[in-house]
Amino acid sequence: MNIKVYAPEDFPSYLPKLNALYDDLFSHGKGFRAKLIQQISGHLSLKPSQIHLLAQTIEFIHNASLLHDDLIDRSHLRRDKTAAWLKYTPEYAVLAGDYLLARVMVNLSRYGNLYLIQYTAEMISKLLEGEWIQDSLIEDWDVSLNQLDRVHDLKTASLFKWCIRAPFIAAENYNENIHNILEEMGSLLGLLFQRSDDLLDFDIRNFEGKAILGDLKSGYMNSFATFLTRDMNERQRAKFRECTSMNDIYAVIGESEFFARLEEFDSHNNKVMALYEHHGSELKKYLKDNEVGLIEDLLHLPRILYWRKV
Amino acid sequence: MTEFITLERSHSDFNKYLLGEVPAEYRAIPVRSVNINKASEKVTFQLVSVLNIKRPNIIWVLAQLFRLDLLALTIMPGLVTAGLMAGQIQNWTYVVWALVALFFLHGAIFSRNDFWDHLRGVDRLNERGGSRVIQNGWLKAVTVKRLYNIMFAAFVVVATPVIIAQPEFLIFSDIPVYVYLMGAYFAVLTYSYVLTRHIMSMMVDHEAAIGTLPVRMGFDRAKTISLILFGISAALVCVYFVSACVSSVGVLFAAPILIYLSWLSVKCRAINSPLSSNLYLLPRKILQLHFYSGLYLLAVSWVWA
Repeated sequence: MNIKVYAPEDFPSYLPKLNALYDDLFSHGKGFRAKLIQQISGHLSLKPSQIHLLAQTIEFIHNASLLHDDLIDRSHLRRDKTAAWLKYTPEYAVLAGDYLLARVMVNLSRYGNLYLIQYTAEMISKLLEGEWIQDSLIEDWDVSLNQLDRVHDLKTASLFKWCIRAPFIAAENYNENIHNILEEMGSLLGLLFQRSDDLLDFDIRNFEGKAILGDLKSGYMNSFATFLTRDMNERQRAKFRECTSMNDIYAVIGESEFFARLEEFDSHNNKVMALYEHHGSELKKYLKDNEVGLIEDLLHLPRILYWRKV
Repeated sequence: MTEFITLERSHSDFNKYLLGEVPAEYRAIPVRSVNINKASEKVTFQLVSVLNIKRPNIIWVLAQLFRLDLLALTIMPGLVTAGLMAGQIQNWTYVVWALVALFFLHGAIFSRNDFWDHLRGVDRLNERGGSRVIQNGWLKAVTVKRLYNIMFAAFVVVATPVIIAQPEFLIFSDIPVYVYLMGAYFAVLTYSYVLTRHIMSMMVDHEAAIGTLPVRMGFDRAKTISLILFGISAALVCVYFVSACVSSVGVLFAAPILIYLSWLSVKCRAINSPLSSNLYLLPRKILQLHFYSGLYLLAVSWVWA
């Protein structure tokens, strides 16, 4: 079932340009998080209205963060279209993001599950903390992988944790053991997703043909860049920072060395996936018989998120 | 044996895994910890064959455990005091033994810290906390505890005869004011090192509800306090030299230390967040200042003598 998380009827028609802005924003999104919600919820026998609420909530929060992110980063494109702050105005981009978060609060408070409201509020706080800290790392060329992992756990993993925990909360399953395990799994999923996204910047498994070296050009050392440069001296790092193409990168590092490092990076992340699988097998102990099918869906996710294989 | 095992605190094997009391051919390395310090704590251990652990040379591992990189923090004030009081020391053997005792005490304190911070989960949460010898699987926690006992016993054995023979170590009389000033300078510098480390770990400490000064006061205020500490260090070293020289011209000798402190202050001001790499550079530079200013003070005192 395809979930349509956004419909013009969800917003007042008297706000000029709002629906046009949201049309642009939602129309090209993959809606991966909404699909994840749908997949998890299917095993928990949630009603279609609950699934729709959760899917809409996560997509609204995610897209609100994108609206603000693009303005903060001064990105000109989002999903191959002109970014909202540029096409409309920066003020509208900020307000449109805030409005999505406000609608989330309205929708969840009408639904009435206090734990869900509380958890969603905590998630948004973590997301914003991650954005705040990440902004402080622009042009910090000596940042380490551990430091970045901490940022990504706040910024990226928060949403994935929510996607796998919120359906259980909506089903009024508050088992602490289940939620602790899902929290760990969400953390690892977020890490893998972010690292895969960072590899796209170096044209690795870039099946969607995204622009490369965008992070480096914006003054941000992503996780793979940090991994590549960890043993470099200051002179090599300075040359690395000036790279504008993959040929430049190969010239600094050496093409064979680049791919050797990639293999090492992938190997690190394979260990993360092994740990994720362990948590999946732990989760089985706490699920009901009719929910156990969820484990198989969860175990497929690292493959999809990191290796980008559907 | 499976690669990972997750245990709750209430599990009968939890403490065994935490202490490293697993079959000798494995190390149980804690990879994820949840609800640290609570009754519901859960730890996921990775069971790694000792053959697969790339342990450095044991001397290097022990140097890491006993934090020999921080030895200057402990020994340097003692060395400089000995240098400044050289004319009054009658038996240098006891000075040497006192410094040896300080070495053992230093190693004991840091290995004990490592052990308890591992058990409490602080070093499991903070990937830069402690020496990492337990978290890397180089030594078991129970081995670290034994090494602490050995180091502390050695300290007692070495320090006791020194204290009995030379009780003036414990009696603070006839010590010139400038020696106290030197001590205060090193104390302030050491505290600025500790504060910087606490700023580095404040996100983790906040999560673990550990109320360090940066957690209680906030990042911006903690940074301001660091700058104030550098200023106090600068003032102390100036007053030290003026007092030691009995002349205001003595402040010129403070110039190299003042220049370094100014540079540290500039670096400190440039720190944007608890994850800033400038922040990670600062503790090492404070240690270097501690060490080199100690050598400088010693050298100057010998020249004056």
